Order: sequence, then C-alpha cells, then structure tokens
Amino acid sequence: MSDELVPLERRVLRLWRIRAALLVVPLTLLPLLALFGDAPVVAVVGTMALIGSVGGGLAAWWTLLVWRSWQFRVGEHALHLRHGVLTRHESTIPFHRVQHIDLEAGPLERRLGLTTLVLRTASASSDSTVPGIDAGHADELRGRILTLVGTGDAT
Amino acid sequence: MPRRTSPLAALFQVFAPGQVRNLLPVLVIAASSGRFFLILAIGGILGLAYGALSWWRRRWSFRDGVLHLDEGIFVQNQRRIPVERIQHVEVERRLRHQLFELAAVRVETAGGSKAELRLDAITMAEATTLRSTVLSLLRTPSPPVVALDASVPEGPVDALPAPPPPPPPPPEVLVRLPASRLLLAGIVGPEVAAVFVALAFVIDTITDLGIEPDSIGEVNASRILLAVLIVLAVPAWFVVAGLVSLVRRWDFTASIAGDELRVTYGLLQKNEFVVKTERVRDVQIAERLVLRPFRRADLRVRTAASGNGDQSRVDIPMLSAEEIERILWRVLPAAVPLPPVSPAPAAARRRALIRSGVIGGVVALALGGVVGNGNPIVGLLVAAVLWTLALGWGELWYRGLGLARTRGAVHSRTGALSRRRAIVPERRIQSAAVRATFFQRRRRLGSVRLDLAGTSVGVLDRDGRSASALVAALTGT
Repeated sequence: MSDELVPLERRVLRLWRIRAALLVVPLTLLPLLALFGDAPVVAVVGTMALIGSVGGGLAAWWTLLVWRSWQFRVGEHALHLRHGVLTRHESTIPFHRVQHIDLEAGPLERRLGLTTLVLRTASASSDSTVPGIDAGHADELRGRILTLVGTGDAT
Repeated sequence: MPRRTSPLAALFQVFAPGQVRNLLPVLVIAASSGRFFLILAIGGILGLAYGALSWWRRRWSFRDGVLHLDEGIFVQNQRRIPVERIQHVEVERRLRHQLFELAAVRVETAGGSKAELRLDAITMAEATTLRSTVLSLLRTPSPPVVALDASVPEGPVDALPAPPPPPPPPPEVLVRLPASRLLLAGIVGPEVAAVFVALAFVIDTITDLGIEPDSIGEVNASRILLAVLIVLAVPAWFVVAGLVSLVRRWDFTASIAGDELRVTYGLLQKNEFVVKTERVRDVQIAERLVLRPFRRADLRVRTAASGNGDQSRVDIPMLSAEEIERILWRVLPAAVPLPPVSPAPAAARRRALIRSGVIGGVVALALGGVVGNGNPIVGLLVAAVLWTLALGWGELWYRGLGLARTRGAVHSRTGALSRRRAIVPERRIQSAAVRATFFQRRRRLGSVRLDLAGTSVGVLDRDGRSASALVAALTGT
C-alpha cells in the first residue's frame, strides 16, 4: 500500500496512440479515393499530408495530456483515482463496497503486457476503472484488494 | 482447480433456442445465394468454432471464498466475486440441461440488472456443490427467535389458558392528509396538466365551429364565446383535478409498524407501499415551485430498487416541515433534526451568473432579433428583459445550492425555482468522486458525486478543498 499517487504504465500511452492511429490512418488514406475521380495527385497528397500531420499531432498531444492527468493509488481502505484533462475527476472507491473485481485485457493490451482493473460496486455510476496496469503486477494487486473487500454491508 | 464448463456449452451457446436469432443472418444469406446448404453448413461450422473457442477460454473455480471466472476470446476478462457479495444463486435446468444431467448457474451480486456470472452449463453435481458451498459460506443474519411456547407456563393446560401471542406493534400513524390538502395536491399537482389539454380542446372546438371572420360582428361574437368558455373551463377543470386527486389519494396515511414504513391511499384503487426503514437508500424533499408559497414539500422515500426514476418510490405529498421531520425521525433518524444548509461559496455565485449571463445573453439577443424583426429598439428591449430574467435565474440557482451534514447523513440541495433536498445516509454511499470542469477549477470549485445503488446524488459547486475532504470523510479514508 503506497501513500503516493502513481502514474499509469508508460505503455498505456503507447496503447492509446496505437488505438488513435487505427482511426487516423484510415482517415488519412481516405483522399486516395479522389484519385479515381481524376483529382490532381498533388492535391491528394497534400490533403493526405495535412490530415495525417494534424490528426496525428492532435492524437499524440491529446493522449499525452490524458496520460499525464492519470494517477492512482491503492490505499489501505480504498482505491483513489485522479484523471481528466478538461474536467478533473478525483474518485474514491472504498474496498468494502466492492462487489466484484474484473481484470480485462484486449489483444492489444495483452501484446503490451497491460490489463485494465475494474472494481464494481453496487452503483453503476461508480468511476472505478484503472486503464492499464502491468499485467504481471495485476494479479497480486487484485489479491490484495480481494482480501480487503471484507465482509461489511455492501449496499 | 480452474475447470471448464461442459463441452456441450459450445453447442448451447450457439444453438440454444434463445440464440437461434443469431443464425438468422446466415439463413438469409444462405437463402439469397444459390447454395443454401453449403452456406448453412459454413455458418454452422463457424458458429460451432466460435462456441468451442469461447468454451475453451472459459474457466471457473471457487476457492478461498472467491468465485473465479476467466473468459473471452479477444477481450479476456478475469472476474472475481467474493462470496460475501453474492446475493443470489440460481440453478436453472432447461430441457437441454436435463437431457445431459447438466445445469446453468446464475450468480448475482447487488446492483446491476443482469447476472454477474453465468455458468452454462456445468454438471448437476458441480452445480449443487457450488450452490451449497456458497450458501453455507454466506452468513445469514439469524433473526431473534421468539419461542412462543417458552412463554407458556408449565402446568395443566385447562387451568391456565395459554396467553395469546404478543400482538404485533400497532401501526403508529405519522401523518394522515386531510381532504382539503388532497384537493390542493390535485390543483398544484400533475393532474392540473389536464387543464391545458382541456383548453386546447375548447379552442380547437371553437375554431372547428367554422365561424368565418368575414364581418367585425362575427369575429367579436366568436371571441366572446371563446373567452366565456375559457373563463368557465379553467375553474371547472381545477375542481375536476382536485376531485381526481381526492379520489386517487383518499385517506392518504403514512404510518410506521415496527421497522416498516407503510403508505396507504386510494378510494377506488387501494394502494399500499411498505418499505423497511433499514432499506432506505435516500430521501428527497421536493419543494416544488407551486408548493413553496405554502411552505409545503413532497417527501420521496427511495430504496435500492427504486433506480433513478419514479418506479416503486414512496411519495408523500404536501407535507409541512414538522411532518417531514416527524416521518424522518422514524424512517431515517440520521437525517434529523433537519439542519439548515450552508450556501455554496461566493465563487459559485459568480460562476452561476456568468454561465446564465453568457448563455442567456446569446439566447436573448437571438430572440430579440427575431421578435424585433428589424426594429432595433424593440429587439434590444426584449433582449434586455430576457437577459435580466436569465441573470435572475442564475442567482436563484446559486441560492438553491446548499450542503449540510448530520451525523450519518449528507444533505444536498439544488434547484432554482423548484428546490430539492436529497438526503443520503452515509452507509449507503458506494463510492464518491470530486469532479471539476475547467471553469470550476479556475474558481477553485468542485462538485461531489455520491454513487448509490441505482442512482447518484450531486453536491454541486463547493470549494475544491472541502469537496475532497467531504469525499474522504464519506468514504472513510
């Protein structure tokens, strides 16, 4: 149990950027369709360069901001989260309210050795997702939380 | 040890009667192409492969008081449910299960509408073992057993007749609404919306009478008729709304019997709501605009089953402050005596005024331009009036904000014209968060969100530091 807020794994930033690229790259390639309509090659390449650089730049910059805003702490009694660029969130989820714990990992996350920790409480509005902790570390973290979930009245 | 479900699960997942609609697209494609059976076979094989793969990935176990389930082909999920959190275990056996000595097990925890864990299908032996293990580990609070026989003294039965069992505590009436108030509740309540419907009907009828306004006299005649009808219809309809309310809410009584709040009302359709006081999730005191001059408010008692909407909620209308306190003493003692709320910081007022001023200003100018229709003086005048109204609304919204704490409960008041005070018992708070938008942070403000089972309650625009402190205090950290 650390008292310090810790950032997400650096790999999470890479994960988010890959996801952003999956959106930006097809968008960049879209002007190629105009070649079928006899558009000048220079204009098409120029548009692609513009979309690619602006889209890529924005995505890189925004993901960095979001990643920097993220901090969390597994405290003695609760999970503490801080995140959000424009709207800041500071959430506390007491372990004795946790109903169940999910560790979720998509193919990309597994590739990067990451996993998403979700603590579910009886409230659907609880903000209790840590997007991207080290997969090797996740099991131990979950075990620690599970022992703290305890027996109190959860609802 | 982690184990898999029955291999037949692969079949069940894809071809169970409930899943057949997933095969419809295959059928459509197969039917529209020339090779019906080929496409159907390919679809079936793909479906089976998917079912087999997800069966292979699904592993479950129950050890150290924790239920484990790992599943998922692409997105893999590992779910852990501590046994103390399990509300409900259901063993389901459909025909296909019975044929193979199998069962589907559904495990539910509090909150959420669907089962948190579903094992379809495992062997009947596994299912019964799982169920009995979970149920035996769940510590069920044993109710105090009152042995009636013990109170019967030893001796000849005919000499000493057994004393009757102690009667249940008589319900104590907390409030019974008099007929006058029920009438009033109808006049200021939703029933009155019918007035506007009636008005529209009357106007519609008059226009349908086909009075052609081709001479001055006839126009006047139709207008007079309209005016007379409106003058007659409105009070008549208020009376009707009042009477409807009187019948619907006849003999509206809130009483307490043991630890149950009972609300009964109705002349034709008798309604009775019973809520265990320990189940109360939150309470709302709704000071609706029409009620505020009368110093009355509606009291809404909600449980975890209430969700966010109006369903299964106990609603007691038109109460005075004393009556609300009297009810709360028995229903949610942590909330009383009702404290005055402390206003939001001055920065919140500036935020409210700027927000309503900017938004209201844009809307006022736009509307002024439309209404003025080329006449700048009229337009500006209209815009000025609207803008003043918007600013007034912002000020009222700020004044509506309030926060108070009693031992064991949080009170949050919001609303500009109609105000609402939400009272949340601390032990019902699942988690809490401070949320601060860019504009709030500039003024060192933050809003607190209290997450409850099925809903959330906001404490808006507090000082950022005290908002964080409130969250820490309420979550016991």
